[in-house]
Amino acid sequence: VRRALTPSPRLALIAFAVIGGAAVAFQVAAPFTTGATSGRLAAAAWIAAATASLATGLVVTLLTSDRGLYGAWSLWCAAAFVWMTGAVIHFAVPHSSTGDLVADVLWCAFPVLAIASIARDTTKGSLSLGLFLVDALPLVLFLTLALRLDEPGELAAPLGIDTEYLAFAILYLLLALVGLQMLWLEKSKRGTPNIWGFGMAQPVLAAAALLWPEHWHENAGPAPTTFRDALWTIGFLLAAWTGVARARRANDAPELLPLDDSLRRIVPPAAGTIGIAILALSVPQRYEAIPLLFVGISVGCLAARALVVQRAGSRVQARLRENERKFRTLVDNIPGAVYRCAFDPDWTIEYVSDDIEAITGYPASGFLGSRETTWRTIEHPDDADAFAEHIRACLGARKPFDYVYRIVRAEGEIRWVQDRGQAVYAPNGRVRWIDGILLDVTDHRRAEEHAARQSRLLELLQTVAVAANEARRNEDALRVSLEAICAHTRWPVGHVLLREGRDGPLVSAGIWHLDEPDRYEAFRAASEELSFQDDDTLPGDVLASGEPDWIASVEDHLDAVRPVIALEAGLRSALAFPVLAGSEVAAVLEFWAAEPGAPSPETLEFMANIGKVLGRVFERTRAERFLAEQNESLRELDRLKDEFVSLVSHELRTPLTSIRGYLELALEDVGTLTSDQREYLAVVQRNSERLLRLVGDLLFVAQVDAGRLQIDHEPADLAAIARESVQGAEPVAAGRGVGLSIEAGPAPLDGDAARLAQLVDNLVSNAIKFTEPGGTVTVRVRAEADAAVLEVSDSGIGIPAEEQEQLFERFFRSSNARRAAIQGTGLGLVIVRAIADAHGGAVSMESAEHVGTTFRVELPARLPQTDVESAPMREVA
Amino acid sequence: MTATESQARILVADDDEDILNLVALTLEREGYAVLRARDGAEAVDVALAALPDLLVLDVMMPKQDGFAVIRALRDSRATETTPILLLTASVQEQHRERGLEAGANAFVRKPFSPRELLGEIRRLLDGIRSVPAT
Repeated sequence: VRRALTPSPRLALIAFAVIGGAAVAFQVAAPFTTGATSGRLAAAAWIAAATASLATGLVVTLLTSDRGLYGAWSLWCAAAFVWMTGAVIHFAVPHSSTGDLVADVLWCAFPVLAIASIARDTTKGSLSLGLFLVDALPLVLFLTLALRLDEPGELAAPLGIDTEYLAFAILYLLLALVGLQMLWLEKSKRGTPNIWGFGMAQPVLAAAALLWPEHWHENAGPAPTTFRDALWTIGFLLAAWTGVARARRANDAPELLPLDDSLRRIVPPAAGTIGIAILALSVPQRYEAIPLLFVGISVGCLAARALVVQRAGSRVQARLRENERKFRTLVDNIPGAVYRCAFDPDWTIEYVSDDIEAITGYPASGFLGSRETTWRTIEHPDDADAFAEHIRACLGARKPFDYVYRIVRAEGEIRWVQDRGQAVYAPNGRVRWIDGILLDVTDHRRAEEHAARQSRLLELLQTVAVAANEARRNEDALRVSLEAICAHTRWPVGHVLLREGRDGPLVSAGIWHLDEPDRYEAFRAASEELSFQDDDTLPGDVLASGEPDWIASVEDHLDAVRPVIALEAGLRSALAFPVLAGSEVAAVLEFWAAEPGAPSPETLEFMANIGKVLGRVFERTRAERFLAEQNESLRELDRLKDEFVSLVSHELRTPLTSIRGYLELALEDVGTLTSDQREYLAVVQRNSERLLRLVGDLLFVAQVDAGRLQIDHEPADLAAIARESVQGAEPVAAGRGVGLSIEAGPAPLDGDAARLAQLVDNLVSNAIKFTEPGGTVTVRVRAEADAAVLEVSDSGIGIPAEEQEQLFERFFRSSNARRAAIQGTGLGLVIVRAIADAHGGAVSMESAEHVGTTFRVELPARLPQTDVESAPMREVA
Repeated sequence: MTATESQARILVADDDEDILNLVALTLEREGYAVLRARDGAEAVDVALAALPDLLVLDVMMPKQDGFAVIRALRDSRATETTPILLLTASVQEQHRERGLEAGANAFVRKPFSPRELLGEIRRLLDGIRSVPAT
């Protein structure tokens, strides 16, 4: 509803109701009064009612936008006007054949209009021509026929039927047909309740009329019967119901009329309609009551409808105002400008919210009706066409559009805007206008661009990092990085300079990226001939400062050699950055570009990062070189150690050989030596043996360190080895007053008997050494699951718990041993462990001070196949 | 002690004068005739000239080491089968292996006792191709 009914049509409606009611009253009263006065009054009342009805119809039709709905009412009004005009003529010129003819024609026009109205109403707004033709045209034909044959008998005489009755019969049959049609439409098209009621009323009224034809004869006079009137009443009530339903129809939009109000609104028109129906029944000439009925229904319905619509209208207006307010608030709160523009090349703005000023710098009013500042003029020239193309494509596909483009602000700044909107279309498919919203997305866009740039830079950095990781040589990493940087930046010339020596000048590494080698040949040749150290050259300055440096425009440096050559080759700016290994400049990468300009801080920072990554390659290769050198010197040390070992073996053992040999010779000479001399020589011999043992132990450990300890794996019996060792140690034990015993069961294993003997000797001699006279040393050997186990227990001084961990470290001597001044090198247990390890075994110990110590050696037993062989033997046994 | 043994001539080569004398003394006391050499080259010269019945060679000698001496003697038909006993102060296994490879018949590690050395020499002279024990 665009505009609610104004007070004037409301007044027209009331006037119509009052005048129409008066006309009906006069008409009803006419048969009971006499004289021309009442007839003239009735005629005047009818004329007024007719005029009012026409006026109402016109006003309603013209002033409401919903022509579809009100069109039906306009037709009703016209029908009422036509009928009443007919009545006026009928009353004003009684018994004149011309008057009758005109009245009859008008009366015939009434049902035509009425049916047209119904047809229009039924099809919800638009007139159904088919329905109209089917119903109305035959009706007109037959009514015309009936009126032309007004005198009885002329046509119907041969048929024996009253002609007028025949005509009206056809009329009423048609009305019944219309009614049935309504019901059918109702069923098939879910018509509205009013049609249902109307459809029922028509056949009933038709039946009533056809059954009592005398009603249609002017002179029939009243002959009421109960049944007949009941039928009329039912028909009228059904028709009245149509009026009620029509009133309800006004409430098609439920939100316009709450349910509890609806009854209040329906009762008055319904009561009015029913009252008119009752009045109509009391009219003697009832065929005249039919149009009265229609008029009454029309008046009642129209009034009711007008009331409802108006009430709803004020409600709608309030709602509209509320919506408008909401819309304003919304628009004001939307981040961006809301607009409506025409679909034309300039995007002529019809409406735009005030925010447009924040976005464009132009006030909203500047766009409205102005030809100077159109949207087209502020679009960035590079984007305007693409944007227009995008909109055309979207609108063509009836889709909303969403596009980001640049605009030029009033003061010239370029901003990015996002423009989203859609078209509103006319019924014929043309674009009426475009509604949309504009957002300033410049910050977002810049952030995106920044992120994209960052990600490209990261990619580049990654390329460089990967190259740096994979490169075997510094030059490889530099070459790959140079290419990657040039590919990324599109700089036409890239060049690597390396340090000559550790602190020499920079010279070309011969690593180049040249987009056009021929063009830059002179520049390349000049660069390769020079060396750079002074800070008046670009690489020299980078070398001196350790920081990136650049030439924004070579034209400012034409006093130097290379800028001149560069300019000749079309190179106008340069950037160089150092590759820092630690804190020193190891290399410099320089790039030359065709456009003048200083690099962005971002670029500089980035190049510094690349320099650091490449610097790590230099550090790494340097470290690798250092490592290789160190490896070499370690190998040399190893060789020297071997030499030392063999020197020691030779140089210590050779004199010992002489000492021991001559001693032996001397001691063999029985009789020539005094007993004192013999005793002295025995001391010498004992100590030479001790020295020999020490040398042997040292050499053994050296062998173990060098990984040269070789172990034979021959079948052996640990018990036998232990017994032999104990036997050998018995004199020493006896000398010290230590009880030495052995409990040995067979303990076969694969091993080196000589080494194992050395192991047992060491443990046994240790045990004896650390046991006070009167103490005991017990050696136990037994076979356990897959192992040969040796245990050497003593009742000696024990080892403090905190020292037990260090016991197997070379040259370690327990505090107890040192206190008791027990001789030893601290190598015995090292040798024990080394031999046990070489056999794949393990050494463990338990000790308590002043109680004793037990060493336990566990060695893997024989190889598995030996076990398999022994299995059947056990079975036999 | 048999006459043949006593007459046997043994070349002892060692650059260490004391060891040389010790070995020589031990052997002479047992009745062997002893020839002396103080370096490898001399040992080869003397051996080829005098064709001793047995050689006691130190491994580490100036000019030519024991291995070189053995190889030189094994190359000559006259000394091809002469028993050779190697003396070494090294504990390194490869000395023994290299010696046996070169063609030594026995191997005695310093320090040795004179009795032990005599035992080995007797075994060699008796024609027993002993498997070196140490």
